[in-house]
Parts: sequence; C-alpha cells; structure tokens
Amino acid sequence: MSNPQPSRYTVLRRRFVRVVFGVQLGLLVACGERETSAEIAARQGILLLGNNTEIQSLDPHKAAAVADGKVISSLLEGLVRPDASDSGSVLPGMAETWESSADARTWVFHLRAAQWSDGHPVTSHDFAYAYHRLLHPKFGGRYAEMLYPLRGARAFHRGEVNWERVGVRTPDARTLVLELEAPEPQLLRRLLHFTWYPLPAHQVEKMGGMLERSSLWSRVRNWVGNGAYVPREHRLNDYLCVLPNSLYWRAREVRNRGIRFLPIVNGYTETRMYFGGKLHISNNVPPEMLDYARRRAPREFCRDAYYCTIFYRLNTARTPLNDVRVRRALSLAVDRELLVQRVVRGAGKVAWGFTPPTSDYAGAVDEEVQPMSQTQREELARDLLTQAGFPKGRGFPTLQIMTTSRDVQRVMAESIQAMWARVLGVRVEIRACEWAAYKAAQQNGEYDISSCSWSGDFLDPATFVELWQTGAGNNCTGWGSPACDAQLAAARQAADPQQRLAHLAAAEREVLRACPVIPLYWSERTYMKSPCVSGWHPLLLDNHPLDAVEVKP
Amino acid sequence: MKSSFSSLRGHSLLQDAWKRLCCNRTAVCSIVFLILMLLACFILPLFPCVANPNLTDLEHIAAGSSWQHWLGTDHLGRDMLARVLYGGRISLLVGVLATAVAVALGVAYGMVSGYVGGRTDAVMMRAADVLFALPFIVVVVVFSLSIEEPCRRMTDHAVQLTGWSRDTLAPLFGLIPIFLAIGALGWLTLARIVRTQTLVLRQQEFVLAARSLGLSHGTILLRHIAPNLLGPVIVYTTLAVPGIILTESTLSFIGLGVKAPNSSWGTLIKEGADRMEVAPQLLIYPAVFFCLTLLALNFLGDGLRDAFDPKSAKD
Repeated sequence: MSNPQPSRYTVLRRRFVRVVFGVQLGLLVACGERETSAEIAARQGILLLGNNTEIQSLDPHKAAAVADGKVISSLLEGLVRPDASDSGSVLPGMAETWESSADARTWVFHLRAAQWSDGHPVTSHDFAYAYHRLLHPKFGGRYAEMLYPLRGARAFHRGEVNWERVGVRTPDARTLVLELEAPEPQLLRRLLHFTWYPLPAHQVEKMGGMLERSSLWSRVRNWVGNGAYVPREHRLNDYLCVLPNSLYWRAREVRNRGIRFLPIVNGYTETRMYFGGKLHISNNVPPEMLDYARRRAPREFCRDAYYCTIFYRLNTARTPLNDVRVRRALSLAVDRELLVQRVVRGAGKVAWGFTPPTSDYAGAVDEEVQPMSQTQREELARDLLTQAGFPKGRGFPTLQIMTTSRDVQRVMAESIQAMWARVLGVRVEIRACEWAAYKAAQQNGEYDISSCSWSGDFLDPATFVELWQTGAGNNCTGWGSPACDAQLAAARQAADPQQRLAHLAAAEREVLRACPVIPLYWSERTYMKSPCVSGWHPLLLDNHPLDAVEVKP
Repeated sequence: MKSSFSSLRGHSLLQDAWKRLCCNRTAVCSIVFLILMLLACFILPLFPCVANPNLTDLEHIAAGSSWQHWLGTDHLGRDMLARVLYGGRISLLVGVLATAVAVALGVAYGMVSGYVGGRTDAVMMRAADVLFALPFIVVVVVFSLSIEEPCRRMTDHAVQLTGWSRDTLAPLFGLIPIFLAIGALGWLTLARIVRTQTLVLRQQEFVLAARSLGLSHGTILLRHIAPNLLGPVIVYTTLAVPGIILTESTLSFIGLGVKAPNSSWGTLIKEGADRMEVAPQLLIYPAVFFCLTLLALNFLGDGLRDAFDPKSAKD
C-alpha cells in the first residue's frame, strides 16, 4: 500500500479540471483564429464592397444615384469601358472599333459579336432601343439630358419631333451611327456613363414594353445583361450579390468570383465594419474618424482626389429664397474655411465656384467674394439680408435644411445652422431623411434647402455646369436663366475646345451670380482598402471597373 | 389613555405605504437622486454657469474637461454638460408627460370597462387587444409623423399669441407628437391592470353599500373605486417612465424624436455611439446620466410596489 491509488474523487476532479481547461483553451484558440467574413470571402475570391445606399433600381433609366451607377456598370457594358487606372481614357467595350468624321459630329461604332446573358446577340438595335426609351417624352427618364448631344434628342425629349429625326442610326445589326448636334471630341468619355448603355430589347419588350416604367425586367430573377456580372441575390438593406457572367465577352479576364455590394449609409458603422473584417473596400470614412483610421491602419487608409462638389441647393420657387439677395446672404454667411478645416477635417478644398478645377478647366469663381475676409463677407451678408427686408433676421420664416441621414451631412448642417443663426439671426431646422424620401422630395421640389453632393459623370466640366440648364432633370432648384442657357448652347456649338470651356465658365459665372446653389467644398474620397485587394487604382471619377479588382487572401 | 387613543388613530393607505417606503434604503436613495437630477436638469440651466447648449465652437471640437467646459465639448464644440442637462430636461419631460397621457387614458378606460362589465367590457377589451397587436414602434412612427404638421401650425399660433421667441417654444411644441404618440399607445397595459382591479373592487361590500345608499355611478367610480386603484397605478407609473424614456431614445435614435440642434439623452447617446473610438467621453457622459436615472426610477418603482403591497403590511 506504499503507492496508494488516488481516490475516485481525485481522479474525477482531475479529469474535470482537464476537461474544463481543455474546453477553455479550445475556445480561446477558436476565438483567436476565427475567420472574419472578409477573410472567407477573400478565400472564395468574392469582393465585399461598401456601397453607401440601397439602390433605387437596376434599370439604368430609373437610376440617378452614385450607388446605383456602380452596380449597373458592373451588370451592363456600353460601347466603351473605363480604364482601371485612368479616368480620362477609355477601352473598347461593346464596340470593337470606331471612327469619327473630321468635324467629330458623326461617329460610327462597329460592334463586336457579343451576347446577352441569355444567349441573344447584342445588336445595334439594343442601343437605339435604349436611347429611344430614355429620351421618350412619355417615359420620363430623369437623366435623359445626358443624351442631349445626339442630334434632335432634346427636341424629341420635349415631344417636338418624332424618333426618326434623332441622330441614331443602325445600318446593320453590328453598326451603330451616332450623329451629334455639335462637334463633340470628348464623346467617348461621355459614353462611359450608364445612360449610354444598351438594354436587352427583347427582354424589356417581353416584360411589358418600352414605356412601362414599373417594368419588372430589371428584377434580379428577370435580369438579362451584357456586363461582366449578373445579379444573383438582392436582400433589401442587406446586400446585393453579383456573380460573373459566363457569356461576357471578356469572361476570362474577370479577376474575381463575384461582388457583394453592401448598402451602409452610416460611415461610422461602415468603418467599424471594415475594422471588424466585414468589408474589403469601404465607401467612406467620415471626417471625424480620419485620424483614427489613419493611425490604426496607415496602409489601408486611402485618400483620393475626386471629381465632386458638396453644395446646398436652394429652392428658388419658394419665398424668401426667390430673392437673390437672400440666397447670396445665406451663401456668404457660411464660413467655408472653418467648415473645411474643422468639420471636414481637411478632406476637401474650399469651393467658391461650382465645378472642381481640373488641369484643363480652371473653373469660375465668385470673384467679388473670394478675396474678401470672412468678416467682410458676413457684413455684406447682413447688408443683403437687410436690403431684402429682414434686418437681423427679423420676420425671416423658419426654413428647413433637408439632408440625408449621412453623418457628414448632418454634422455640416448643424454647423451651418449655427453659422446662420450667429451671423444673420436666421433660424433653420434640420430634417434628416432616408435616402429614397430625400431623393423624391428633392426631385419634386418639396424642400427649402437641400444638402447635396454632385460627382462628375464624365471627365468634363459640362457634367457640372449643365445641371443648371433651365428645367434640367437634376437641376431641382426651379432656377433658370436665359443668359446661362445661351452660354451653354454656345458651348455646345463651339468648335474650338478653349472657346467651349470659356462659354462653360461664363455659364457658371451666371449660376454663381444668381446663387441658386451654395457651393461649399470640393471633397476628396476617403475610404479603407484591404491589403488583399489588388487592381484598384485611384480614379478621379470613382468609376472603377470592378472586374479588374482581384481579391486574394 | 392618551397613548392608546393615538394608537387608535386610523392610518390611511398612503401613510402606511410612505412609512414602509421610508424603511427601504434603496428607494429613499433613488428619490433623493431623482430630485437632484430634476433640480439639475430644470433649475441649474437657469444659472449662467451652464453654457448655451447650442453654441458651437468649431475651434474646440471634442475637447476634454476644463474649467470652462466641465464635461468637455462635443463634436461641434458645444458644451457637453449643458447638452446633457438640456437633454435630460427633454427626456424627463417626455417621460413624465407621456406617462401622464398614458395613465389618464388607461385608468379611465380600464375603470369604465371593468365597472360597466358585460358586453361593453368585452368590446372595449377587444379593441384594446387590437391595438396591442399592432407593432408599437411602427404605430408610434406613423402617428408622430402624421401629427407633426398640425403641431408646427400650433407653434406658429403660439408664437403669435404669446410673442415669445420661437427658440423657446419650438422645442416644447416639437415634443408634442412624441409624447402624444407614446402616451396614446402606452395606456394599454395599464388599462388591463385597472380593469382587473376594478372587477374585483366592484363586488366588494363597500361598493355595494355605496350603491344601496343611492350614490351615482360616477361618484362611486371617483370616490370609492379610484382611490383603491392608487397603489397599482403609482407603481405602474414609476415603472413606465423609464420605459417611455427608452422609447423616446429609440425614436430619437432613428431620427424621429427631438430635432437638431436640440438634444435628448437618446440623441446624445446616438451621436456618442458613432464617435465611440474617437471620443468615448461623448458616449460615456450621457449614458451614465441616462442609466443612473433609469436605475433610480426602477428602484423607486420596486420600492413602491413593496410599499403598496397589502401582504407586506405588518399590522
């Protein structure tokens, strides 16, 4: 008995301790090594992309938001496609080759033998059909003026002529001829926008016809496209999943196995999700998190130049905003330097004009106001408001600033609200709307002041200045001036590029003088990009061809 | 003789409850805390030591504590202490007013239903069941949105009538949709409690006696039934206030509650939660105030329940 057996109790206890300890250790290991969804997706080759808001529609003729455009350009392809590393150049898309007349008024595109995702051939009729639909006066396409460079397109859109007069011809199924109103050497850049994409005419016809606005053809289950991807699953406010289209003409060159677009409006949530391993590329890091994000992941933090203006629309159909003095006073009372420095935290430049300056276009600025100091501007603002009949803001009605629920916009609205109260004695309320409601209210003119951003659709100042054409679909301010319209028309007809830009600048000066909008700043894009992503380069237009993006663990 | 006389003096229900409540230390602490909180939120901001909660100072964003700003500043450089106190004012006001609406409706409805009985009772209770079946938040959202516009017009009238500035009136009138909406749906539980209690009470002898003395139904309801409902109603009320403050926070959190630049604890917590990593104090301060108040209200509710419980009566 010198070597006593341990009692049963001791054995059990030891076993128990061992089991508990083992389980705990196992749990610890499991916690440490649990794969995040970004890692799982990277292993599967699927890109997780933050896409700001829920899309309104996959139908390119009903979409108007940046988020919609990103999804649509992965599902459909136009005559040309964007270059992954340069916003200024284009690559052949559905068109294999093209030639233009010497005066750049007539363009002939020779289409390649491509197929829709249901096996039908892509023909020039599909393009003509799409343009016919978008411009049709009975369809009510919000973005129809994108096609106005086509000869007769404006007149057709207004119901003045019939379709035969519009400059779109299809000599045969593989040739598309575009005749333009005026010389347009930069047409190819414009063609990158989703309004110039073809539609599967056979499918649209089958699902209710060309003019059926509520057509179901663009639902995921009815979708037919010619782009690199086909939509697979759409869960509202959760994700939209797209998979490679095996019938796409460059199917072999698609570098990933699918994309998941995640509509996350709140930038704080999105950044947090990125750090939690739920995203590969985020859409936006809010200004207040810039330092934090930069410190936490200096290599993953991206800050790109962007062709985008942040501004306030003023509804000039409503009193007292129909008075230019009131509009100017409101504009002058905003301390943009402070705003950019403190609220935007330097991720942008103070804007005294509307169009962001590029290498070839210096832009127009408010020359009278820009050189002043902010104190002088504020004095001028008070004077203007007094002249308009509201000394020290007395009798000024309570206006509403309408914003989306986006973080930056709300913080900005609150600081501008305080600036107007301090400088002018004007009281405004803030109404934060959900995206769809915001968009609808803006397009129906049911707002006083609206916090907006506009990013260029193609690399040319016209994409900004033409917004303010009288009655343009995205004007939404109720403002219009014959002088501005005349300058825009002159710009369209100008043969000399320099002269054209001069006309655009003159049109922009008209806008700045009448002040239907308050330009605030030209923003930069700040976002996070995971190290497992390659093939993503900074682009001024943020029109990344997503098929070129590769995800590898 | 004297002492035996005094011992014969009747104790009212309220006196008993109060005595029992005073023995409950947590409940007493809660009362003291709540009084202090009410004073801090409603009286303190009247003194100049608390800054204007809407005065932005973009030069000092999310600053730490200093002599000028005791709790630092928020993401727009506004004084955090002032914002928390003014926020508490709105949160507590909504809590109390909405509870008042709910209690008034619930007691009246439940008492009538229980006292009349029969078919009326069945119909009234089924109607309440239908309302119960509706998703609370959704109905509150729809309701508060639909009475927003009338409230705006009312503010305009009030500004014209009283001649007060819009800045003082607008936050108050802006609250009307919220507390009406919450109150209008919050009475259902109370109505059921009151009805059950009334069903029991109306069969008691003293009600029978009152009726045989020829008292009208209204008098019986007011003088004999209502006082006996006091206990459960008071308890329910204290427990309902935190729930309603929470609902207001939820509404503010989804953007339907108070409008910027005014704040409630709910909006402050939401704004703080967004900036958690960058400036945790923006979340911590309002959350601490909020949690302590809710805890105090809950402890007080528990204490009151024990105090009003006839089974805990020692005599």
